[in-house]
Amino acid sequence: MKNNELRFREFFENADSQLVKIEINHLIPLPSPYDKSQVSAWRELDTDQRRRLVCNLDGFIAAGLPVPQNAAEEQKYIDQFVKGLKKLLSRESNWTFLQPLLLSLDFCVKCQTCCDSCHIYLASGRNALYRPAFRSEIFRRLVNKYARKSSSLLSRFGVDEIKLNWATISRLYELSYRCNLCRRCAQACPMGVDNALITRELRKLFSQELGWAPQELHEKGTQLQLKVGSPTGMKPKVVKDNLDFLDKDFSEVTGLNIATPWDKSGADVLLLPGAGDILSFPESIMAFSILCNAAGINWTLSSEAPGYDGVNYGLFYDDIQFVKIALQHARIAKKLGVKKIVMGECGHQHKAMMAVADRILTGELNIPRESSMTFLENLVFSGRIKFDPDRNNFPVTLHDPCNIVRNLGIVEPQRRILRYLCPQFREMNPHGVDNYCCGGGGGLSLLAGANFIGWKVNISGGLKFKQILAAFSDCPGSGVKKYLCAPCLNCKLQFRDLLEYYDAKEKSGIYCGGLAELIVNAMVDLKNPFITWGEY
Amino acid sequence: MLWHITIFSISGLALVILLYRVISIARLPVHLRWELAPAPHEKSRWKYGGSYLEEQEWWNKPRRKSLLQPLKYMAVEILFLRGVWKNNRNLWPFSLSLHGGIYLTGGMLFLSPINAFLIVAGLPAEITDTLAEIISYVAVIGFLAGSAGAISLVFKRLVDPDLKPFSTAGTFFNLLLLAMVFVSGAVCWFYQGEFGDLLSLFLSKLITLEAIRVMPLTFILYVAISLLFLLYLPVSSMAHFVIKYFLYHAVRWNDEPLNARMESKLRNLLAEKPHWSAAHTGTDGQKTWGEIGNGVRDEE
Amino acid sequence: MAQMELAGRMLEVDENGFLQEPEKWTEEIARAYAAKEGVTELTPDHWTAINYLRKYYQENGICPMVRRLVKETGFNLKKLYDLFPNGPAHSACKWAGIPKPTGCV
Repeated sequence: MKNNELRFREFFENADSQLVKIEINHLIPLPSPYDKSQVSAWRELDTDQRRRLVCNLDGFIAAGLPVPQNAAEEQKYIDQFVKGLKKLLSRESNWTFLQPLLLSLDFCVKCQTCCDSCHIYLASGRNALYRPAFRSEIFRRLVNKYARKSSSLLSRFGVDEIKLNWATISRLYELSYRCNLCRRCAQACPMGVDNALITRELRKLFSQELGWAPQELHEKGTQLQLKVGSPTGMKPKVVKDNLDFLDKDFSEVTGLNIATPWDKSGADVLLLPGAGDILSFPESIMAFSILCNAAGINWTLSSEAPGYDGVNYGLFYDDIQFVKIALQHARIAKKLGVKKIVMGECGHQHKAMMAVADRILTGELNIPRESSMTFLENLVFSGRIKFDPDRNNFPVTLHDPCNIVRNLGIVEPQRRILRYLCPQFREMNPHGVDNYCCGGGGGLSLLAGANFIGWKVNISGGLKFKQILAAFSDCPGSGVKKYLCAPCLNCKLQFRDLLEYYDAKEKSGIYCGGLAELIVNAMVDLKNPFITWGEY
Repeated sequence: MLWHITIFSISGLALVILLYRVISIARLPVHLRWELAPAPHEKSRWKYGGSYLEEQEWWNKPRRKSLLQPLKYMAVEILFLRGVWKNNRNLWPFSLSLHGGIYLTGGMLFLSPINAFLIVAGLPAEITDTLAEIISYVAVIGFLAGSAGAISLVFKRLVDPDLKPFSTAGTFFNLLLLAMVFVSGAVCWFYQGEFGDLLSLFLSKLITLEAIRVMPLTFILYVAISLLFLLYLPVSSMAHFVIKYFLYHAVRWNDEPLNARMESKLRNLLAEKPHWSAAHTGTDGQKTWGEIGNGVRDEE
Repeated sequence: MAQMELAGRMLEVDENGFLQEPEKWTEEIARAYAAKEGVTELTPDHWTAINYLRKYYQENGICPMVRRLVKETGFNLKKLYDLFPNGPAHSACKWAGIPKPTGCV
């Protein structure tokens, strides 16, 4: 079956067989030495996985649904799905996004303008399954037929085909995790319809009504964070111990006296880092510590769970979890009596606390929240620290995290820093609010079960990788070390997977890191470079 | 009196339905922020799509929003279909033709009641005849552009593999209905001639509640089809001509931080009791959103 | 739940092959995991790393950060990749019977 020939009807049929097969030679071509012919194909699902898990979509598994025992179990889920549809349209259960949802449901005119803006659709070689409007339209028809009393005139005549069955809902579940929630489609839609919003509503329905959610987001994500303080599993004692170790280790290496403050009551700034940085990209948290201390900022971290981990995976799939975590973050800040909260280098955290949760942080919880981009810009240009941009004299490009840039409009502060401190800074094309997603957005960077990484690095990450290579096209090859600046933890994880899969460090000398490290690297006071290009 | 009753009641009904739909959307609860850059109300930052959230300590500074930029943006969007031009160039000429026809019909429907009033007021024929001629030209260009747009879009959607599988019954129905309106108008225009005069006179009799003599069949057909369209318009996605306001201003460009007025609404919403079945939600219709959010940290 | 044959037993693993029941770990299992990645013999250096990982996990409930592993064992990153083909996170933690790290790591 050719790429674009998928029909709605096929989506509702043959629940046990795979709907589409992605051929590697259909994908957009990458420049040499990354042409598809030279890159090994992704891991296929093994027979055991195919037996245990529902894999009737595209040969990949992201969310991972166990195969139901029998038809009765399937019917139970189908019935719950319909209940969930109705709840999504109710004020008491979904006032949070009711107006945007209803508007996006009723005003799509099927012009398909959204599709060409979708990096997933394009990188897949225009596979119709990944059209933003395809997924939304199925959902729309289900809502109109099963959940609304006064539905669109024509849907009542059943002219547009839709079938509610196991094939439909099991495929919709997986398909809802083939979207990065980057909202390029929403930008492109002349009507203002938002297919990412609809995808999220779908995920929400599955999670809040059926209890279906990828374990990386739910059981080992929000639930773990609510239980112990962080999806990384770090409890307060462990995180303090880790930071103590890092303070000592980095003090040794840099010759500075690094002391990260905890629980300072009445501080000016509470920094909310992504705790994963502490474990996987410790240079990031250390860079913040170094900069804040050097600039004499009265700041603190919080050791009260979950105050040391700013992530809120609820943003990706579940309003209840979202509200629980957001309110806890705000309460911790209020308890400490800080003057403002600064979002660490984490995209979805920015969007969660600065935009989406803003309207539920009422009264005393309405503590000012600032982006680390703005915070760092102020710090860099305050004159309190001396910098030498020549210390950053290597090619640098900037990846724009969707949740910070496209979703919040925070575009220039990070650029002003890079233009000042990085003599070889160059933009990707397109960039800013027109950027492409890294491919890990919407929680996908966390989903690593089965063979999903293959999908992420080839399909959702395909266009981004092309962009990165193009940004460094003046100095290809591993001879020159290049810095891909990605001020977002989830993006860094996706880039780590991407660069490893393509051997890009070895072949092209590309290294990925955050913004704070680049700033510290330019500090005059450091005797050795702070950026060690992954060596230690 | 049949004409008067029919036209006034159907137009009135259509207006009521439209208002009902608009009001019910406007009265939907305040939602969580879901804005999207670029937002044209951001004065100088609009150039690169920035927002006030870039600003240091933005909460201590007065919010300055541009009123003119969003209007300019919407004008270009409405008149020239900016979004389609930018993101779906292929579709643009067809859509522009259709929308052009609609706008010109709108122009015709704006000028003709004016001319009708002028006739009733007894203004000299030089003026009302001239205006009628203008109305005729506006009408014919509109009918031709609209017909071309609607019909070509039907064919395009039947033929283009990017559109055919994804066009619904509703899409075709809307386009065919529009085509019928424009085509019947064109037929009347070419068959009957002096369309502007015909329309102005007809409307003048409507206004004064005078008896209307038998109208030409092609005109009756045009008016009848238009009235059917008018009734269908507010319940279809074609109501976007008004409701797009909400899609943009209530959602996409709605980056308003929490204020006192919103806060009182939010407190009520946080007191709502959600019903979700999954165990982890802990919602059973008894706990409010606020209580769920304030729940004790889950210990096992 | 997926299952994998390790050291002659069928054990529960996650979709990436990590042991789901850490209490069932034995040294034989470590050898079995290593063999699957083409490492036929576990040297004292391997055990230094594995024992440190297990000790840290038992005390703290999670896998230690790589930087700590490097510091405690004295092995730099290159050496760790020489010992554990897929690296400290994917290979070493797995062979040591520690659950796959969760969250943004």
